[in-house]
Amino acid sequence: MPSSNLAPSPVWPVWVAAIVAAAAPRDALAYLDPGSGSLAIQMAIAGLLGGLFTLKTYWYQIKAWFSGKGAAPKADAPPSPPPSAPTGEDHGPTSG
Amino acid sequence: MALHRVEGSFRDPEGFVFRRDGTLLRQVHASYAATWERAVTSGVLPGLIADGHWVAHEEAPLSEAADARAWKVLRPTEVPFLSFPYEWSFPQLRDAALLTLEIQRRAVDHGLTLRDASAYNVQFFGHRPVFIDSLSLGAWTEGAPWGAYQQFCRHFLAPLALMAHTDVALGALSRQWVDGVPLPLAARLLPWSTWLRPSLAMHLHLHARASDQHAATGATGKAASGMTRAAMLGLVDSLDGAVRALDWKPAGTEWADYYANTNYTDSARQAKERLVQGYLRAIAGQGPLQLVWDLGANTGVFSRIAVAEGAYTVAWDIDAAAVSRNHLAATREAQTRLLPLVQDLTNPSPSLGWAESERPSLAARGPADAVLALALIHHLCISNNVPLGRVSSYFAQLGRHLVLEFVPKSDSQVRRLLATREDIFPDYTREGLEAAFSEHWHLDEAQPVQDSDRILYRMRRR
Repeated sequence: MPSSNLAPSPVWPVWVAAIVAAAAPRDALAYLDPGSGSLAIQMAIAGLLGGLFTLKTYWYQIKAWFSGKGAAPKADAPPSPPPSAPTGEDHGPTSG
Repeated sequence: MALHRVEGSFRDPEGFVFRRDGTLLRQVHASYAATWERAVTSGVLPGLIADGHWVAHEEAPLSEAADARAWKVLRPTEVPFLSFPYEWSFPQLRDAALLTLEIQRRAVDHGLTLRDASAYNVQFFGHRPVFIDSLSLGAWTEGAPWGAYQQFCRHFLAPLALMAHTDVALGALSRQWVDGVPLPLAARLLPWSTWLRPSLAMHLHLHARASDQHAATGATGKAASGMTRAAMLGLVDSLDGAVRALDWKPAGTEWADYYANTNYTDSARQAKERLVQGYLRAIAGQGPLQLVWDLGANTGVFSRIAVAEGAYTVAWDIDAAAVSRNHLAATREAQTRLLPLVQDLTNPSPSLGWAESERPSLAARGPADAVLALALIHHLCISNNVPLGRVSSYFAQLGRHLVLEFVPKSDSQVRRLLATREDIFPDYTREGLEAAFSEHWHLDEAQPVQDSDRILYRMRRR
């Protein structure tokens, strides 16, 4: 299966630096405890991943423009195949 | 009217699943009304259902509700057979992970988010993973983090990385930790080389350290702002890339001939297939044949015969490689009636979770209409020392009918098992088997298997 891993290895020191970024707290309302450490790291990597995602989106748009394949994917919809190619076939109730 | 709460459905305050007169229903509480309307009117939920990613449902009358908190009652399509992450092979867990991320990606596009990312929210219809928790979507406002990020890493990324980079047997950790593998444990078990993979270093190693650190300092459960839409999509994209980059194949073997070594010539194999088909038809003539469990199914040759006879078939095997291969083949064939799963019959899936009833045991999910036990009994009786009578009584819990292949001591496979140990099995004979099984079963038919000393039995539970 082709890898669509976002972060190529040359950038990995960047996120190590990003991890120290501070995050401003506010109340989280959920029935699932998200874990405070988990939230902290999520916010620390958010900027980096958001930036890389935006760059990746532009890159696909440029590639699409040069390959003359018409409209590039929308900035909010990167090309990524869904899992297991569902076909929408009937899965009616059976014994269970 | 008989009403039973489904034991595993108690965590979410927005609703729960129950059975009324045997019909599966989901009650939705008024507190969830606005979110539900948004999920529907935004097109997210209808789109996911249309694409087969999300379980379909019909609306049931409110009079079907279990209690007064109900705002809506749903009648979801029933999953043909409930399976759990510790029974899935590597590619099944990976497909379930990618499905979860695809749903989160679509949700974020419409101001929604997955409130949880539990692997138990996914069930398989044959090869197809389908999200079954109809109330998992919640409102998302830009700035808020993904509350289910840690759960996704515990339920999916950690076990997948451990299976791919440490040992595939570590998939069984999900059986011990039903809310996912603790990240500090996963980080300790992963080889140091996984630090060099940015996505694993970030989502597992640093995530584990952050969890440890915040637990130690007693930090409060505060979330942070600043999760832009691009950042949320970037997080999901990064997790997607991490999952897709993980792969597992049995070491040192080519999958193509992994199971080429059998005891049968082509004609004998075809004769055995015809015999099994005939037995299944005879069983179908006596009652329903909707669910078949093929125990020791290998890559599912005989399971597919049961599917062809109209049964939803679960192909159990202890070998993760065989189950992986069977799932990948089922995916290529677009099999929606065949479910390969990992199971060690000498230590079957127990009841797990809260009050020992959250995740039902193997036997509690039965009985199947028919159980196939082909070329299996010598592994149970000779390799694991289980007396024939104990095999008979356990099989009688699992199925109403039984197709059993007796592999005698003269068979090369049994000779191999006995070559390195003392033969302490004087009762392991055709006569011994028939005497032992007669206690729980009617022995309806017995036929020799061509070109061998083996006998194929068709039995009906007493």
